[in-house]
Amino acid sequence: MSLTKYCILELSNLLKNKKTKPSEIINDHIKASKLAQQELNIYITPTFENATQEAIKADERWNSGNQKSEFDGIPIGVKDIFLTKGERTTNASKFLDNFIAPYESTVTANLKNYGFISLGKLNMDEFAMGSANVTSAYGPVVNPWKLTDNISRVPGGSSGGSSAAVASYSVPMALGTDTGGSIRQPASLCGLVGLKPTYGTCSRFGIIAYASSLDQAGPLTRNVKDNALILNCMAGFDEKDASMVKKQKIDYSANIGKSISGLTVGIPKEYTSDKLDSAVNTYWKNIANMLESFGAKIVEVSLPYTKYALPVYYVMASAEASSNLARFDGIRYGKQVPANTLEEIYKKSRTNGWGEEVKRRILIGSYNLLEENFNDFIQAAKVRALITQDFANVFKTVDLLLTPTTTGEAFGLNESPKDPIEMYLNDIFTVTVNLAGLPAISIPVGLGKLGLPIGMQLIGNYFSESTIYQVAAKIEEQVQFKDVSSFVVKNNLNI
Amino acid sequence: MKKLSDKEVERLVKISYLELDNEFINNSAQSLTNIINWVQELKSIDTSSVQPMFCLADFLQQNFSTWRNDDVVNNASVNEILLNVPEKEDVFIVVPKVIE
Repeated sequence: MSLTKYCILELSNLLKNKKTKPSEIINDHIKASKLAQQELNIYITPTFENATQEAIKADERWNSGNQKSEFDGIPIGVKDIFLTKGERTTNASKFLDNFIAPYESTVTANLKNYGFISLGKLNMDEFAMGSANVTSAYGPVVNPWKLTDNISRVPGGSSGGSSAAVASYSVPMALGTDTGGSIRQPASLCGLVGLKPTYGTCSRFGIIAYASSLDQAGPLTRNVKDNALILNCMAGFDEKDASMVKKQKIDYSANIGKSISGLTVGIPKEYTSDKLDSAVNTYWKNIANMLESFGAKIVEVSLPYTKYALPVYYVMASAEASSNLARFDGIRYGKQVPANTLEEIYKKSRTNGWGEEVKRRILIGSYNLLEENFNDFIQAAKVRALITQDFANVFKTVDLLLTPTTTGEAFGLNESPKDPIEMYLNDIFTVTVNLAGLPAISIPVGLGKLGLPIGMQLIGNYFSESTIYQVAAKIEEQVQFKDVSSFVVKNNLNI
Repeated sequence: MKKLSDKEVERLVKISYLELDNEFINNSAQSLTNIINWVQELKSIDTSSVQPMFCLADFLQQNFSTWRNDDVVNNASVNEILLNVPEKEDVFIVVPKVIE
């Protein structure tokens, strides 16, 4: 029997009832992690030794009744975009291959205060730029959902290592970040629950910035309750992040199990298309019907400026990225390529340090930041306001929106969606949420035609995570998604 | 469809502090063309009565920032600050000569 089969709440109950101890939990998850590392390449920097030491300390705390919290000793994985003091933090880039974090991110500090133990820094797309975890300088991550055809599939991205780690039962929770869908999309492709909270809910202090007005940290878990419990631990005002909202701490899990009768759920008509995988369409309709059967009102809504979301996203995100990445000069940190002049050091270090995708986005961002393009940049920001106003208008009459998370199942490592409309739809489902700063969750609703997971997305109004979890829990209760990845079955990690 | 000229691409590469070969630039041509065309697409929208939104605080018209007293706060030691400096000497970061 492996303790990896238990979720966070179950592990916590086992600890409280003295049926297990942290060192046993950590040990089993390290075994699973080693298997996953060989086959799936989920870690950039495993920290198993440190985790084992921390587990022994947690054992002692539980023994003496001084446990940090009900979660003291439970393992987690951390996307390698979070600075963890004294540990290598690479952002999946050669540029930061030798970078040791001089301080701790607020979100990881919050989780460590509750006693969660990190098993290591997880693989991701380089500098969070990608949606398949194939741009990492440390090799691609493989989705633990493998079929008998033996084709290696993508776990999604950029939080691909995080999603693969949870779906492979290496950890019951992993931290991700979401700038345009990078938690929700991998959650969908790996059969997980992934939440992007409202912008300003979790501190961005100590998270290497991609696009500062879009980035947000969030949890990936195997069920809705775990996700809410983790958000309780992660979230909280931090004066070191000027974009945070000072709000009273609430229990995000409080509405789980409550009736959804009386809630109104909107279906945005601009998100429908005959290009959607038929299974995705079927699940979308079935979930809407199910919610209606439990007393929710289903209405069609319109978000007219949806079609401009991609142009706005690519203009603004690339500009912010180009600006944020200007700090990487090879002088104060990062792999330096020695040269005779400052300018040469900058150029050579930056060129050598990054992969193609990062450099491409910097170029695009630089274009949008040119003085002669200033008015165009302002125009993009104004259209962003129109997109956001679309959501504000519909949230006057609906509580949540129900949409697919992705157009279909996970694709092969060596292929990508080729149909431009399919690629467009894939991005549209998720980027609009980041532009508006809204919260959204992806929950697994079943398997597609290939036998791989499909996720549905719930988008809520600002700071409505409790309502999102309430409806997500109802969906979870009704769909009974009990499938696990072939990796887990093969290695008996769920028994 | 508008395309960037070689000179314009060269300028972008220069201000981005990158050194890029022709192969990379050719591979990136489509992405660069896309962004230019997307910008054109956005120009057609009437935004005469709209305020730009750079982040959520702009839209919600709330001041998210907090202020603290202008007091010295020592959050990092010299060792922490210099931890990842590729070339250092004592407490100094070593760089090539910048003044002739």
